[in-house]
Amino acid sequence: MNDATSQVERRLREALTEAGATIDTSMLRPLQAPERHRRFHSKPRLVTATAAAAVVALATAIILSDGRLGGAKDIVASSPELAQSDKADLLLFFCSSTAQPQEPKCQGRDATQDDFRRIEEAVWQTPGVVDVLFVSQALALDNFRSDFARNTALLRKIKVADMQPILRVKLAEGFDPMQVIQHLQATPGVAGLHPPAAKQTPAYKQESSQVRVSVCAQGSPLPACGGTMPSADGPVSTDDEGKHGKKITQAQKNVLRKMINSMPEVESFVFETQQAAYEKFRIAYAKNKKLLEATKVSDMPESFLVTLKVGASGEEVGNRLRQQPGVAQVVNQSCMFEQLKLLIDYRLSIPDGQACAHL
Amino acid sequence: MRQRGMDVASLFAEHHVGLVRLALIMVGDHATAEDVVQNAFIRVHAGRAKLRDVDKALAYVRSAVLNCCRSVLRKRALTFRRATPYEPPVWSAESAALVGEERREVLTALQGLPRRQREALTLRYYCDLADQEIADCMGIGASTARSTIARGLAALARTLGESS
Repeated sequence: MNDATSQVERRLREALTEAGATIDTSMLRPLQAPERHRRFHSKPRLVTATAAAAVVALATAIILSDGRLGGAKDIVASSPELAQSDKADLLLFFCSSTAQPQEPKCQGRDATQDDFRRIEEAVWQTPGVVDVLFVSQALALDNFRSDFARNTALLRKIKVADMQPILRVKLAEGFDPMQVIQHLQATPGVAGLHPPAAKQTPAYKQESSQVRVSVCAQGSPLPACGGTMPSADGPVSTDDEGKHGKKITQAQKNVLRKMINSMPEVESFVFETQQAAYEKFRIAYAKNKKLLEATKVSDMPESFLVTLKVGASGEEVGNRLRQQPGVAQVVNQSCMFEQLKLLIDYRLSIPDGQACAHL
Repeated sequence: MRQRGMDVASLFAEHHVGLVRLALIMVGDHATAEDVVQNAFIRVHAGRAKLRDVDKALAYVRSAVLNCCRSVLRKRALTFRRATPYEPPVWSAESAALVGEERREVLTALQGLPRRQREALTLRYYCDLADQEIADCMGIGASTARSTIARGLAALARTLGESS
């Protein structure tokens, strides 16, 4: 009986979460000021008092919202642009005594109301900041549920206390976030400060449904290719320690290609050459001159980029491909991005199996 | 920056989305859900001078949303009663398409429950509120809230057990 009840509880919770997540936050209308209270017209004595109160109320509402609403007179408040975390340029996390893992500089304390006010003011006064939105733990959980609505195992695990209060910060066009980060990082009560996942990994959208299957290159140190890693504390060098793996043979490559092609879950796939991989790398690390100098085209892996059909499980496909000879590494990118989003946008580190069981 | 006294604007900024989601679950379609929340905020705005305890503001808005949902559903029921035999509000095609079959079954069963049970279950299992908060929101006692949830859950289990 008890078991049946908890089963119903679980199904109800999941159904409600998913139904609630169908709201598209960017489509919500702003709050309009009420029209004059017509129902009072039959009571003439009340009219003046009500009208005066309404004017005062409206004026206060507009002032309280920092005058950001500008010209539109009848809009009292709007769901701000920053209601979507992707629109923020920086996320500032406040200390929370219940967040895991604990941030050492918070010393296990919660940020107080005073901290909230002080830090919000400091952020407003930082050059480059054009808009700020405070996100409470409850609201953060609400966003979390909408972002991960399909990951029921995770939703059941995460509670309000796991969330941290956040300030979403919008910067002026082209302003370097690093300056703001350096300026605010050391402020007491701040647990962390960084751009949201969508800004850190621009490839997020286009690659998130792909599984990357890298094949063995000549001299690969990966155990899957028959190589061994050089010992961790020795000098990093490709040619002294560690056994070298073998390059994938043409026959193995053909088998792999045929296998991927015949999988029912696969929508399409492309083969990425070392040259193409290097081009991507060069663009991604354009600012890091030293890294670019040290990296050769031949250091890049060759891979199959497999796009899955909607609803197919990347973990399952990955597990089958991982066992093939000549495969060095399989990365389920939707899982990787999901974990990145958890870690960056919510500061939650969740073990592999739990974060991606549904992907 | 934040003044003491009820600040409807920041209450809106912080809780608008969550409340629209709550209303959506109650009334079943996006447009009405948004209207309901708009209405609730307008009422709260009008009555904000009367509210003494600012910490209760959220509970106050929530019950305003619930009230508005009730009147929408009542009006709908009235229209249906005159035209055809009354059916519980159907989920709009748009929302329904986004939610899976298994989930829809649960939601339909939820819509079939008496009003009070439906509200209590939603507040508990969607909004994760404690007994006391649910009670504040619905204007009933905490123990009533608890027993309503238990009864609602049992009824839901019965309906789902029959259909599966």
